[in-house]
Amino acid sequence: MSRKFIETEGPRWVAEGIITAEQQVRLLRLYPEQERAIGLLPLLGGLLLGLGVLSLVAANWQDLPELVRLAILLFTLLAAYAAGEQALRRQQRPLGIGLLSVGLLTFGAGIVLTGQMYHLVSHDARALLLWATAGLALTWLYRSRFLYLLTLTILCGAMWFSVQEFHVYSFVGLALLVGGLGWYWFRQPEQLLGWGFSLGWLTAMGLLLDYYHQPFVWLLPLLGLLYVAGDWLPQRRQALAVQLLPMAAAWFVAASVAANGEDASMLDELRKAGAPYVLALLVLVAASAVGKRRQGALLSLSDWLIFLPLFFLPAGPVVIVLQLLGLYAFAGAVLWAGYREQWRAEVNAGTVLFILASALAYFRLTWAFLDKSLFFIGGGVLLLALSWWLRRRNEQVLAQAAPASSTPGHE
Amino acid sequence: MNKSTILSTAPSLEGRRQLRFRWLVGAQAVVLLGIAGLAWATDHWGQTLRLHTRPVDPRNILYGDYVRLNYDVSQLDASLWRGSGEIPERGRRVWVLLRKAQPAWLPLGVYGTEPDAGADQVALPAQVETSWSRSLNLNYGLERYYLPEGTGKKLEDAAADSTGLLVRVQVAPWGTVRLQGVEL
Repeated sequence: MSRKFIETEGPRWVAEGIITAEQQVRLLRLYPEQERAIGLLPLLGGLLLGLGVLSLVAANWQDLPELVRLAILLFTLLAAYAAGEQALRRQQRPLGIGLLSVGLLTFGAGIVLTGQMYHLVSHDARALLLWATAGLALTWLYRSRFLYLLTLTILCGAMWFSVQEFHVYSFVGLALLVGGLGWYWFRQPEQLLGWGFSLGWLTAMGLLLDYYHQPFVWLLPLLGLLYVAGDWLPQRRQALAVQLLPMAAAWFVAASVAANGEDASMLDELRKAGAPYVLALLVLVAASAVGKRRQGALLSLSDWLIFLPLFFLPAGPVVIVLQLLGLYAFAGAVLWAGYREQWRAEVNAGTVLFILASALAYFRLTWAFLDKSLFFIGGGVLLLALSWWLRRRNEQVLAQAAPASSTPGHE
Repeated sequence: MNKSTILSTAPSLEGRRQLRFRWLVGAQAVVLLGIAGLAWATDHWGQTLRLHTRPVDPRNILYGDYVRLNYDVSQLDASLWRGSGEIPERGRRVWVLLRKAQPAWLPLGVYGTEPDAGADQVALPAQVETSWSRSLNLNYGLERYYLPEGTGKKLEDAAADSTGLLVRVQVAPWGTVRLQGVEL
């Protein structure tokens, strides 16, 4: 309970006779105000002082003798880490993690500035990977989400820099990403970390395909690995953070095929992925099925519907219609699962997917062989029938649940 | 678990964490010192060579606190390619074998693997920036020179003079390359 709450609500409690005026004063005394204000002052003072020193040093950096510059870097590094550890020991976690981050950033700046000071030529991203490794060790040591995301940013930056500047794909960086940050997420599958890792994985795989000049559609099986990792988590609900991005990517490709299915050159481009692509998808689906079975969610295997590589079919209306049906089937499966699990977010997602698929179908389609109106009438009737059936089933389930819950212990 | 075991295990866990933290911070300090040490060792054991260069844009020499340099050995004739196969493509790592000459060192050949350098020779690592059938454009990582305080004006004067500049480069036996300075 905060002081402010007692201050605003207290007079009413006194007026209603719940507490006396004296008790209100005693309660307020339990939450002294000065403590926080006083705690904030040195922090602000320290921040101003730090900024002042930083700008002073930065302005005169080139003037300073080399050894003095090195000493300043080392001092800042050690001081930031020591202060961070001290703050954590006093249970001031945000401040402590913030100071440790300053230490980590100082390490990176130190690497760059020292190399620059001595005009050393770097031929690879080794130094930056060393920086990321330090961040990884800190993340594991302090179990901090902030340090995790900071390290992820540093690591992805290092991998990008390696390709951009040295024309080398950093497999060491990839190993750090998977073995360090990926494993960390797998052991502690929090939403935010899952999102972060997804983006990191997307970056690493995008760089890989770009570096080896491989067709970009390979991104789907590579992101599919992330999806499968989600299936192998102990709890199903934690998987969403890493499974949404792969599904979004697959949906985007499927939608492009539905929108441009008669464009032979686009399909040819996608087909460059070749037979290994189909094989990779089959392996992924099998691995996913095993994981889903362990989670008891084998029905969600329908997610793989949008991964179907329909672009291997010859360009034309058949591809478009099949792809649209695939998108509808996927939307239907998501809706179905949402109703089954009584999960509002999934129902909403399914609805949006359904609308998107309908929009695609409506504005698209050169309906040479099938009447457009017939397609929509058929779809509408199907949907209404489905909704009627679901509602009936819901009522049945509720009716069955009612007598069961009235006899507890009967299992 | 009784009270005495809690008392005996809790500090040791915290102690181990403390120890790891100290190792981690210490290792980072060692890395920074190591980089400085690498420069010092290259100074001490490396071979020094001189390369002829010009600032890329002599009229506007100061890009912030560094200057861009273009070396005579940045563009080499494709006939100098001594590696196997075609002329190397963009991004490939190569070595340029240089021999001692006055005032600046001269290129002997471009190799796909590190060649054995004889007396008064040095193999300088580089990266292919662009390659055409007749010429190779190379990047040595020495193209950016961070100016020590007070040298900007002198460098500008020297650059305006059409003779260009000489740059001192050090190459350590283990491959570290360092731009030691500009001769004014």
